[in-house]
Amino acid sequence: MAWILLKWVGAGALLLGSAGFGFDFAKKYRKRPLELREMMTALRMLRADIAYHRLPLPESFLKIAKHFPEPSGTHQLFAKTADMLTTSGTQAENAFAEALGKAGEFWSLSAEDISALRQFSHTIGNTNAELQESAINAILAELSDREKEAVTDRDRFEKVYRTTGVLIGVLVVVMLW
Amino acid sequence: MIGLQKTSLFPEEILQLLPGDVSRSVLSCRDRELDLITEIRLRIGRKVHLVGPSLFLPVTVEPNHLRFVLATLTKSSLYAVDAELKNGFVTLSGGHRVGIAGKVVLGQDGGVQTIRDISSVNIRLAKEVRGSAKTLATILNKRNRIGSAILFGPPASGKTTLLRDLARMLGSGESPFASPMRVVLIDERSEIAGTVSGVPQFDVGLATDVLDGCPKQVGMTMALRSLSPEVIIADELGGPQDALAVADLAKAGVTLVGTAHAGAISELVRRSGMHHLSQESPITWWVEVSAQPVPGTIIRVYDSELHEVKSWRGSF
Repeated sequence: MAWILLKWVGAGALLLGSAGFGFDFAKKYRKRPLELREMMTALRMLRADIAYHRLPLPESFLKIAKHFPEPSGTHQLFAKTADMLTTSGTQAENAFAEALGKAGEFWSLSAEDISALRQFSHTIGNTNAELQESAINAILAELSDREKEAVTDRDRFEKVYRTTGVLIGVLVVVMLW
Repeated sequence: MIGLQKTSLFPEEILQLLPGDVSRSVLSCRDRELDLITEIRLRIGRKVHLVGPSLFLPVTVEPNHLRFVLATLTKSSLYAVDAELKNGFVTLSGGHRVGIAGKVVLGQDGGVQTIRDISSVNIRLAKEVRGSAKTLATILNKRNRIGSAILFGPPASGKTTLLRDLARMLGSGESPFASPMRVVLIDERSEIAGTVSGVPQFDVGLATDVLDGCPKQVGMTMALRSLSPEVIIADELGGPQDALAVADLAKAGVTLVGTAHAGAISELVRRSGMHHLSQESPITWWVEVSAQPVPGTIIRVYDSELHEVKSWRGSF
């Protein structure tokens, strides 16, 4: 009797675990386009602060960080960079690149997304307003392409991973029964 | 810990601007020397130079020192100080001015686009010297009305310091002035009042309004229209446009006190703008300022006809 119960509990746990893995993978696909859009909003805010207000980066970054909810990667990236810039002598490009590395765990962006942002970090704060603006426009165009691709990926893979997770769970349970 | 008390003697904004080893070295100077510092100069490959006490510190300036200063100065946002950089200097909070030298990059219009490969930095400390404008005030207050004046002298002769204190005396109605006057301070380079987020860092008088970062000609028109000034104070006049604006002020019955870079009255007159100024003669006094024996010393005074006035020390 106890043996049967244990079997059922084990099967349930296996199924849940496997489905969980699937859902987790699916979640990454669901979140990536949202996060790319969030990042693009942040960069548009930065562009306005630079091109129109000529606001120095530390102030602009702090403002942008406050605009996005706490656990989001965008918040982390901008808050961390602003924080590093309060130490005198820090260059924005280095701070931004370092914060990109640290914010990684908070979002579902792909390695390529992050490397595009890293490329962009080299120009940040280093030129006049017009060139800053065109650099931001370039990264926005690239992120916009990536966002379209992310949406396609999501439509294609989100369901696949979710069902695959459940199916693999079922398969293993059946094999072990 | 080096000199905890000393930091209070020395402007915090300057210490933050300097890389750690340089600021430690500066603070290790004696109090008397710290007090004398008017400029801190960092030249690549050479020792840090303190102008005033004329000292060379045992720290050799390296490229990363200058990168540090520049990143702090611009808040790592070159675009925010783009316009100032074209003039070769950036004004710091507290009214201090940082001059920059390096490879000048020209734009398509032939004007300065930016400065790269920064090779030296000159940090000029702004000092508020209360009472320094006493003699100047007595001169301006002669003949029972406030006369317009141009202060002139070589760079670092203390013109701006005098102007700052004069604004305070006029605006607060300090003796010899009978009552506070409505003063408009046109502070194109944020150097006189040292305004940060709208608040002047220096005492520029009770009845003084500050047009911060405003070009002089625009500022004069704005002030006339909306601030009903009795006295307008502006730094570094010199262009032909300035002369026209000053002539306008005279017609509106507003007194002007300004400064100009010039070694002697003859040099001043030769400069085109100033030539016009003296011909239309809305300026009552031309005051020559020298750095010797101390910055802000008045050495000669000329009247509107550019004749030297000998008796300015006395009460005429």
